[in-house]
Amino acid sequence: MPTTDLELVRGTLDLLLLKTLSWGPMHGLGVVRWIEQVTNQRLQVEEGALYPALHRLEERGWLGSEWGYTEKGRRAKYYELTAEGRRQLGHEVTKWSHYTEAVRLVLTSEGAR
Amino acid sequence: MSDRDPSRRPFRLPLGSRAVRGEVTEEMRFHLEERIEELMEQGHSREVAEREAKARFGNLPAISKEVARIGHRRARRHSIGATFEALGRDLRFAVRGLAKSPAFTVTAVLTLALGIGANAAVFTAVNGVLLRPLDVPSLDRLVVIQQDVKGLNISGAQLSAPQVNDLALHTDVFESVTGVAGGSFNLTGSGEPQRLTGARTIGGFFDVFSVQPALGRFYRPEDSENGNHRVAVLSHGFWRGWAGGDSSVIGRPIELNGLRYEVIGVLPENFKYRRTAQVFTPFEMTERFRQNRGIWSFTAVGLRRSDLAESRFSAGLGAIVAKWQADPARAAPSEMGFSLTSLPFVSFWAGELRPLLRILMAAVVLVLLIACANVANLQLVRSVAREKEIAVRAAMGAGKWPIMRQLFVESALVAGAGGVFGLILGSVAVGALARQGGTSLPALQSLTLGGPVFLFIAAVTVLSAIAFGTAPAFRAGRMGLQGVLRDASRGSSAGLSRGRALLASVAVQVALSVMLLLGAGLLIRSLSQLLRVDPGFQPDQVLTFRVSLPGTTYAQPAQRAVFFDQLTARLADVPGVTAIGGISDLPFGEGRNSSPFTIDGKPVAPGAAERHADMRFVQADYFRAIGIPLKRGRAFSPADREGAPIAVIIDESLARRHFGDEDPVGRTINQGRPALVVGVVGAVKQGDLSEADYPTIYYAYAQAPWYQALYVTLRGTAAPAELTRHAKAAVSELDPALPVFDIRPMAARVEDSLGARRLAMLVLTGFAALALLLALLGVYGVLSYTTSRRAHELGIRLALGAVPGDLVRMVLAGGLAVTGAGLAAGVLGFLLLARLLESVLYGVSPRDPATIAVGAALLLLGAMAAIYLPARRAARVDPIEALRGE
Repeated sequence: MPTTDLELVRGTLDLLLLKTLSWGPMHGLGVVRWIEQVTNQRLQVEEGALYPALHRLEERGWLGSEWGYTEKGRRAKYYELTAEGRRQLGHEVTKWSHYTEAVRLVLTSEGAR
Repeated sequence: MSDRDPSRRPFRLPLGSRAVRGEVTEEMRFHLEERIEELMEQGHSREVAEREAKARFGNLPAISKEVARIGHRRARRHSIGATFEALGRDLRFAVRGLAKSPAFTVTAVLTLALGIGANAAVFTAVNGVLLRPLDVPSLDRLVVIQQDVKGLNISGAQLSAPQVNDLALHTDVFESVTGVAGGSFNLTGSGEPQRLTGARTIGGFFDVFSVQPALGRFYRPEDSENGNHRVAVLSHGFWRGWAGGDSSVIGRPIELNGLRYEVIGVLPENFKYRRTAQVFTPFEMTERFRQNRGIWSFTAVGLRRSDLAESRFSAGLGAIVAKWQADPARAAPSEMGFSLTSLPFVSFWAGELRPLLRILMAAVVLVLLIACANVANLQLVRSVAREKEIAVRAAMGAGKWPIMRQLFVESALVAGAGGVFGLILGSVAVGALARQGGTSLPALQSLTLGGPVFLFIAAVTVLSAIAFGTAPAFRAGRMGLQGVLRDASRGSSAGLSRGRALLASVAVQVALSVMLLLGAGLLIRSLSQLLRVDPGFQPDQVLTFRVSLPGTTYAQPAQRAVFFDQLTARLADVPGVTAIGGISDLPFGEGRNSSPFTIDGKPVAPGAAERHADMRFVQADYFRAIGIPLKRGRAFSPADREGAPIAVIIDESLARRHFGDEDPVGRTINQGRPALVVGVVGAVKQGDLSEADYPTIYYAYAQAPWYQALYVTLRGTAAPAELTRHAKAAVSELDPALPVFDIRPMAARVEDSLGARRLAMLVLTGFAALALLLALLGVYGVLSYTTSRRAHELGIRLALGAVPGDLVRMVLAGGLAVTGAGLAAGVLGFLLLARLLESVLYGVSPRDPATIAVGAALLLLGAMAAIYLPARRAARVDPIEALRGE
């Protein structure tokens, strides 16, 4: 059982979902697995929060959805990035890098003499 | 359904609320089951795996609820957006589709525009004349009260002043009552003398019509009695013309009939009483008018109490009569058979236009139906060309409803364009109607397209879209996918059913146009019968005009006689004038003046009705001037003057009715005072060519110059304009303050009495021609189409040995069968509706067999031509070509 190393920073879930789905259509659990896998289990998504987030993104038109079948032949709802969602992802990524850059500047600054 | 290829619909449409919940549940369940399986694969027991999965997921019900809420919100928002989006898409499609077949579009739009335009014009007239002739809020409670006197054979007579005043006392029935006496005034003191039309009123005229002054104030009922009657309220139109719209006009004097009146108010613009009335003044009540219940000179208009049901109103009227009859001061002799009747103010005003407009409204609806049937045909034929398109759309997954909706949007677009062009055509037609009919039918002058007309046309447009859009849409909906498969097989059942629909619609068109054709035919026959009626005088080469001598300057009756004698003497010098005379009321004019008379030595048989005759007063050489022949005795001579024994001339109608074979000349009759019959003249039509003759007694004006105004008749070879100039000059030389008015050739007066009939005939004939044309086009189009669709079959027939003549006969027979069916239905329908025409027909039965025969023959002739062209084409079918074409 993987241990939770990192709590998700507030507001980053949307970014993670959009980015993950930019690789292709996935169902909800697929998104969770993908994030866990790329982060080597270090980032664990709270599954309960996942679905409202996905649906909200769909409502905004950033995601589309379609029922399909898994490799095991089970029916699942697949989400996919829309063109608008792709544009939004671009904005979010820029915003995130500005944010982390700012945070890094604060963290790496030397104390005032 | 879920097993669709995701590529077809990348974005699913949002779902209904139950489906939303189902999906959310399924999504969550998938997640949990997948997780449990995964954990079990890692070696956990099912129990542990389930617990772990649930723990990782968190609060399942709360999350499900939250997700479902988002889904619902989205579904709601989407369904609104989707409707508009779909509508926009349908509209774009429709525009593109219509643009692709301009011939269809133009034909359909024009056909509808004709139908809708005719409706707009006729409805404008109906609205202006029948529905809202006067823009007052309580229009539906306004009633005109008239009296019937059976014993005198009089119905619909006006009331006397005391009767009007009595009515006003019955506040349980009326809120207010007014009596309106026609009035016309010589306007002097400001430029050239002018003749104004107006009304002199008693009672609460402005209360009855619930009208408020636009400027100044109105006079009160008591102003008729208290000496304050020299006040005038102006119509808005007259105020603008005369005072230039100056609001300081209040208090200004205005000289009417040589008397000073004070302008006290101006009516609002939308209040057009009698459409033309310019001045309103209180009626100056004299003792004679106040007391005499026999002077019937007021049109009584009452405002029915709002709390009195219409059904109880006539009972209220009956009670009033009963009350009057119980009062010796008010009772009419019981043998006179006195009663009060009422009719809605609106129909009182509509008058002779009423039956005419009803007929036109019916006709115009028929025209529209034909237009719709025609467009439906066009649609059906066009739908063939679109079968493939529709089938492809069905194959691409478009449902039945969206396809139908799409076709409806197209129909609506065509109808909308038809409506817009129809309104344009309609406004042109209304202009023409006002010009054409306005001279003889003043009610038509003020017609304008307005709000109610726009609403009506919008409704008509929507209805016609439904009428011609339904059949094609349902056909397309039914066709769906199979259309593609059926494409090759033209003889299929769908082809047949379409053929049947087309033929049925053609039969309907033929039937409707037959009805219009026969209606028009009857009106034409009726008018030609009327034109053959002899009015009893020779109206050609007679100019008539009116001169009114105001009581102020011509107070003595003898002065009037002198004036007209002088005028006659002056006019005698005009070159080309052969005879001059005057009369109190011209034939084909408005005035009637019937009163009872007795014949000395010929008492009325007990129980028989009293003798009644019109009184007319003639001056100078009237009979010769207007061309009424003298049958017996002599005409009036200058010796028949004041002081000489009263001489009268009776007409043949009276002689026939009351003297039979006896010679009336030399007998004495008494219509108020004894008079000697000195001559008999021919009877004349007094009001309308269709009327029966009415007994008339002519008096010499010189012996009874009671009338202040006379019509002068001038027979002469000179042009009317020339005669008019001379007449004006002669009057002006005698008295420059006198206007000469109502100047018209006598022939025009006769002509105008036919105005409504002529207009009805012209308009209905136009509609009938239009309908016939549309129907024949329908016959031609449908037969051409079905023949071309049958080319294959015809080819086979030819190949099997039929000769072209057989094919022509076959197509002809088919076409004639349809036309015949339509014709039969049309004649039948017409016979059912002919009653509608009865009231406007003269000298011809509404079921006149000759008219029906001619109409049917005309239609068949046209239909033959329309059928023959496609039939001839059938004969030219090349069998090889036709068979290879498959």
